[in-house]
Amino acid sequence: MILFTSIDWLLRKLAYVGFIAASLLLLVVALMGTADVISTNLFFKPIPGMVELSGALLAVIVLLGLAQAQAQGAHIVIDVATTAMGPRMHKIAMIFALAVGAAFMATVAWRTTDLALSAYSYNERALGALAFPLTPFKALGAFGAWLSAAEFLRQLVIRIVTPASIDTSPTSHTADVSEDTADV
Amino acid sequence: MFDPLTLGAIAVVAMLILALAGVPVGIAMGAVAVVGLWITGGPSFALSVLTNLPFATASDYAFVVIPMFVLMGAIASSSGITNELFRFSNLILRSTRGALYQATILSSAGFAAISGSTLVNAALFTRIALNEMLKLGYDKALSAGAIAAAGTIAALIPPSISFVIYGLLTGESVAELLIAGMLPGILTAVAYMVGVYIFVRARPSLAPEPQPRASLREIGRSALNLWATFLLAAVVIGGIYLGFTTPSGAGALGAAGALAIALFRRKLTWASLAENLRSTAAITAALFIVIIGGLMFTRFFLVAGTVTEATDLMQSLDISPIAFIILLAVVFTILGMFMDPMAMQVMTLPFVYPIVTSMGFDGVWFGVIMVKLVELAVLSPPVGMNLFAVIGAAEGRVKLPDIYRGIVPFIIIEIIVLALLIAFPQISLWLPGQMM
Repeated sequence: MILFTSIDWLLRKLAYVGFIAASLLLLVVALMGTADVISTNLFFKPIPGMVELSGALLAVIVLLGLAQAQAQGAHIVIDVATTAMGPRMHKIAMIFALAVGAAFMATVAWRTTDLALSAYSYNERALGALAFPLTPFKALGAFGAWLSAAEFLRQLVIRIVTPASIDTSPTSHTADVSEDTADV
Repeated sequence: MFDPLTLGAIAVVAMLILALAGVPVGIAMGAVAVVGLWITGGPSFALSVLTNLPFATASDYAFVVIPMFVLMGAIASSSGITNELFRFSNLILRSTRGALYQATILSSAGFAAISGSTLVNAALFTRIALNEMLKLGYDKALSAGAIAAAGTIAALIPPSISFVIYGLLTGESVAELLIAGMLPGILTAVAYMVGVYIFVRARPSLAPEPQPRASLREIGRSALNLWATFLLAAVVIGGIYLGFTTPSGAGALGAAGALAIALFRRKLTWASLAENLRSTAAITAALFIVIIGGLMFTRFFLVAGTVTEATDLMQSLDISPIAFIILLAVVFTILGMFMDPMAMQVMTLPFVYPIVTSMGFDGVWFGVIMVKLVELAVLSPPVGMNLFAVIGAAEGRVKLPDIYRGIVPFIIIEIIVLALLIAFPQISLWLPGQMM
């Protein structure tokens, strides 16, 4: 039990740190994009590698944000059937949904790790004026995907050991997140 | 082995079963697509798609536009822009009967030029306008209906995230789609305002007596506060329309601009900036898993031959294009009863778009029609998402039967606007045709 509690704590912390990093990177991408637009239009000189770097950072933002999105219940889910279920059926459905989520994200993580290892093996670099190495971005992406798989697994274990009468569905920390997500 | 159409139908049913069981929509599509690709293209092909597609999609610069638009809207709304728009709209309209209905529609359309989220618009304006409407004796049902309906304008007027996702999933130009939504968005706002004017004229009890006209000085002072809204809208829409930058560049400029404006006006605390960044990161991750799943699903349909077969079948059935669009409208209305707009769009595009373009429809025009259909669905009782956004934000001041009653006139207006957009494609296609 202590081991599970420690793993649970560690996973939550890692997911949160990854999420904060993703949030800060958003600001970096916005500022870089702005600098590039201004430089291109005012000085007729695009910032070298900005497009490639923004893209690589976006992948890190997306993949590092996945675990926390699951933790906050921000993923888009159709709940019309599950909300109508009784506690027992709801528990079975949640176990099934979380198991599918964990399996899918673990497969994505496995393949992205393979992608990162392959990038490392031949020192893959971005195509373009600024040939920065791509391995760190792919490795961070793979780490984010593994965190997401672990978050699904963590919720799955909690759902299995918790009685059906107690709802363990992740709830959004901010109402706006689910509102926004559902909308777009 | 199954034929491509049966295989496609099995995949759709499997995906729906997973989604209804509570699997996140993007993962449901991705998981079914992987199994489908495994069966049709072999294990190595399925694994190769799984290796390359997620990272390649998430690292595509064209997709940077999504988090940037979300971030711009989040910062702009937390810096008080919505209140200023509403105050200004109310000042210029308050001497007419039903002014607050009109002000809600006008300011929601104004805010749509810096926000791409219909639910956020509906929830924000419920908090800003509903209380005042009820206090002054406006009809509860029509007030709630006007707020819910006006929220949908955000999906049409750029920056619209619905158009960005449509463009990225279909390969249509995102810039053209964003610009194509402008006139339909304005048309919708005008139609709502004319409709409300007619309702209030026909039944004066829907609104209290008008207030005295505001002084020019008061209006002028309020208008000056709107510089931030106009600046942001001009930078984003102007940048795309005039070709100064790509949609992603315009989004970055808009997000940084919103931040600079909020800081300059001392309307943003560190805590709210952090909250905006966090909510944008969560939304981005949640949206991208749907986009990745949608693209994998599209890939599966192409490899399985489902798209070709479905297109051939539709052509052999000889259904008239208009009948097909009407059929789609019915399907979307039904889907909208239990699905959110984003899921609806991503789940149906892989097979609807190729059929529509094979029938000779313009892809950009269909993007406008599709967004309009999706927005009509989110207004449709019993479970239209915008109705619940208003109910949630109203905190008990409006009940479901009220909003069901209040939304009906706006649904009728929506159908009229939709018919106009179908009958006159130039409403959508004229502006993109003028782009530089």
